[in-house]
Amino acid sequence: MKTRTSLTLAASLALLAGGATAETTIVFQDMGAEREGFNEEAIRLFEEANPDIEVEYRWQANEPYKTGIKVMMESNSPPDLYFVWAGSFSNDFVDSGVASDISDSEAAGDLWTQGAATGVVDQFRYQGGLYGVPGQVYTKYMWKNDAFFAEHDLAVPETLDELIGLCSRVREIDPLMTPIAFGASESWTINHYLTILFQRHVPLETALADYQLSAPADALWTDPGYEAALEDYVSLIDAGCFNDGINSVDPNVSRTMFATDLAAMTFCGSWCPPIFNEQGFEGRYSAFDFPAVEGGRGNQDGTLVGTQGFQVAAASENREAAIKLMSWLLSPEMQALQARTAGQLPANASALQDGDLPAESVALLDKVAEAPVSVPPLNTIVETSVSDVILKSGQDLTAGTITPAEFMERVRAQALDAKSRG
Amino acid sequence: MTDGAIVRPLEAPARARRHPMIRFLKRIIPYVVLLAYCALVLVPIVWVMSASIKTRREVFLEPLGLPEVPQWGNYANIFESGFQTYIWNSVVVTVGSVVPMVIFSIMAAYALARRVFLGRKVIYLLIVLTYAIPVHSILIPLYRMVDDMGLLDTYLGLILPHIALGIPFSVVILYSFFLDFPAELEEAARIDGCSPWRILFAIVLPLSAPAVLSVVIFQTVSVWNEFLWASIAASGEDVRVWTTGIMQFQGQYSSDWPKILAVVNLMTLPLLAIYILAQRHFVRAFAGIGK
Amino acid sequence: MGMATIKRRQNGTAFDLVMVAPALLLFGLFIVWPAIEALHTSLYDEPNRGGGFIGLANYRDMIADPVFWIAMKNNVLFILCNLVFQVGIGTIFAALIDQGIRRGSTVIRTIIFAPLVIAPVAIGVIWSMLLEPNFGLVRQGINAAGLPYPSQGLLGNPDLAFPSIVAVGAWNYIGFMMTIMLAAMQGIPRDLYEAARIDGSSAFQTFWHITLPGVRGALILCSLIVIVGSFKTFELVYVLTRGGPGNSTQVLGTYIVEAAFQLFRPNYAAGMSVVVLIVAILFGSLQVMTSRRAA
Repeated sequence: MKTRTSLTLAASLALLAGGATAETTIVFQDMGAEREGFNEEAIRLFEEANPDIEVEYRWQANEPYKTGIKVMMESNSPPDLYFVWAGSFSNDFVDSGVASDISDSEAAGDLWTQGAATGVVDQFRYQGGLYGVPGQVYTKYMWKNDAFFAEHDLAVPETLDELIGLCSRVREIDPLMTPIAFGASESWTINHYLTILFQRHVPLETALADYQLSAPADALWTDPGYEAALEDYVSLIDAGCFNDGINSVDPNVSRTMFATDLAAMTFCGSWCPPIFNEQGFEGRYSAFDFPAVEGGRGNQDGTLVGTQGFQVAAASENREAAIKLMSWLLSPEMQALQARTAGQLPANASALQDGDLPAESVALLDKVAEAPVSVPPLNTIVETSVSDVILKSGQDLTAGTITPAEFMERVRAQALDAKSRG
Repeated sequence: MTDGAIVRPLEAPARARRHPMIRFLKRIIPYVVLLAYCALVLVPIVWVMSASIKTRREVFLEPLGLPEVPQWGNYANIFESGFQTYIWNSVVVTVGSVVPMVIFSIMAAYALARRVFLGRKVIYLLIVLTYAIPVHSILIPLYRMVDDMGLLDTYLGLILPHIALGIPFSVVILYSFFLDFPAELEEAARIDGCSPWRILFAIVLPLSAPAVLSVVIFQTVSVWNEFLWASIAASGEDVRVWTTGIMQFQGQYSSDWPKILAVVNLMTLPLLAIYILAQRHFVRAFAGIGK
Repeated sequence: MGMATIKRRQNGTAFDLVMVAPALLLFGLFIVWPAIEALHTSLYDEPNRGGGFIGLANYRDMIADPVFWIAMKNNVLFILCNLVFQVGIGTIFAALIDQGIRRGSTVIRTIIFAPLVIAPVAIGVIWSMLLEPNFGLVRQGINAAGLPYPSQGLLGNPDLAFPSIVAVGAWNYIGFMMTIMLAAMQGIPRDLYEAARIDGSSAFQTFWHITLPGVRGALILCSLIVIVGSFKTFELVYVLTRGGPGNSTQVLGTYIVEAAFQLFRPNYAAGMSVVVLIVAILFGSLQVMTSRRAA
């Protein structure tokens, strides 16, 4: 209530100052602290350009957001524009009828459609409608401590076996140095390893049919590649590649370990460089591709590329204003600003000049463009209940309480159940 | 060894040697046990205090040392990020919940314990039976109802369910207190022509201070520390309270322990200070629940 | 005289109504009604799957859901462990303070009680850092003592995570139990102890024959508080492990919230709520039975 009062106060002050009135107020719910600076600037500029619209911006951190947004969307007064990961996460909102179909806005050629890459936008098409737009793409790479690698003459591993060899090498050089910093108190980080390993081991069509539950029931999630991928994951743990207590290390702590010379490598997203830099690690690290798996039947030089963006609430009373803000956030200027201030990769890179973006972003975008195959993180494309089993069992597998075979039994059982329920 | 020691009968010195030893152990063991446990309580609390003014590196690598340069900026940061609003919201919600909760509970408990009217036993039974109900057992319908009332992200949306959830426990405690209240006092007042209101306010309440204080302190601590309902009913920022604020803060600075611990410390120290100053009341309040 | 009686009673009825109404109204609206609603919605399919009437299907799902049983088992285990550790150790400490020491009892009492005023959320945050597997104080302490530290840490290991939560819970509540027990012990007449001393009873015999019977009521009360409190548990688990690793520390509170707001199964969650409600009401009747002045 206090906020409301101060908002009204701010509005009346604006009235005195500029003579303009904010007729419409929209609520914009975003995710992630790293976007706070960017959003505040983008919204300030937006409100300047649209004096009749006032934006109430809110954000939550990653893990609380996953519950928080579902709570908000269940309510009678959901935010007008809100953040989503493309895939099962965004589709859940479509299924429960709280997301708005914006096909009309696309047909009308609203501002956001200019320069939006079709392939990326398609990730928000579902059941014949368009439910959302991409705001950023993200990818994930191995990062290495350049000085440490140079000092000990370590080579970038090309294969998983080399990576495992490298882990023991790092331990020999310095027992206190963690080869790969890894925190999975939030279990999506395990999911990212599994996403890439499944990609290496399982042919793409097979995997997609399993993820979307479109494979016939007797073939669902039965490819032996999955179990082989899980075995690989376990062998990384057994080889001492990671720090202790993976399951209770916060992902941010693992980033700090890497950025403070306590770990030689880490597997981290395209959003990580600003986090490393903030701790004074700028210019002392570089990215390399996740190693290939020899004999794997999947794709060996593919990568993980996810899309995140925004949906408009079906219940929004200010749909037009919400679409306006969405368009604004997707404009080339704002996408460039987003890359500079939040370190996030633009979703419509083709509309941007190279000079608009920081060199790091350009390098990552080039890597994404070079990758022949890209798969979004498992938890964003696999059906929600199956994804939950994968997330939870990932922690069990990490702790060593279940075997890869048991992991797959659970996944298959849940997938069959979900498929039978339609 | 002196000659005298050798001359003594065999058994006596044995007893004499063991006896003080056992007595000494008997005296010392309780102290050892209790002080060891005190250390177990104190170390984390002291750690929080010192860590909150350290740098990240110091917290990770020298957890027990003193900070080289105290980082008071960690505290300034709390206020720059607007945490004081959450604290204020917590104060409003706590006061707004506990005051009516206790008043309503006193009224109901008094009537149920001391008056005769139809249905009082049924009502009391209903209240006692539900006192163990946790908020998560009614979370979803409660959420929908508060939403339909338009009370999500408002003070009332937090306060009304808090009052309701606090009533059963408060009524149970106060009921058993009022039941023991000497009937003669009331009877005398009634014969003097006092109205039931006067009897309650002028005679019963002043003598009930310990029980009421028990309930007030217990419920204040409960509401102040509540997290689940606040995280669901006030997921926006309008009336975010300190417990949900701290989780947001943790999400924002998850590897920056000193910053998070500064908040933890800021929210814990005042309560600890009040507790130490008003210790007698606290202990009596919590022990009083047992009466 | 007859007139006066009638008048008094009418007066009384209005008074009683006013007295009971506010509490009853709020109680009915915000507890009883949602409880009935929980039962009602649990008989329907999820809103995103049509929301039709499905009878007891949610309850059948529950019986077949291994996670529900993990949560149930953990809740029961949590109650038992807390009874042993919180009430047990609290009673022992109370006896030590009451009988064993002469000086410094106030200071010791103050310190042991102190964690109770710290919010569960804050306790969770503090202990998740103390138990951090690489830099946490607990690991550094154990290593300094020359002992090995489990490589999955404590909270990251499905076998150790639950005992760790129990330990943190004990840290939080032992002082509370101790305080209630101590108050009861101090109410035992001193001359009973004096007599026992003259009879030459050992400390243990005195505790068993004099202290324990003297604090029977307080012991029952402590047990009730612990049972109800452990059954309500949510914050500590949520902050320390979020029910993980895997589902190993899931309790009913965390699983209900997860099912309702993360898995989009609010009506299934409502079904689990009903189970919790039934158990809570059973505990409530326990209170009625143990209370000597039950209505």
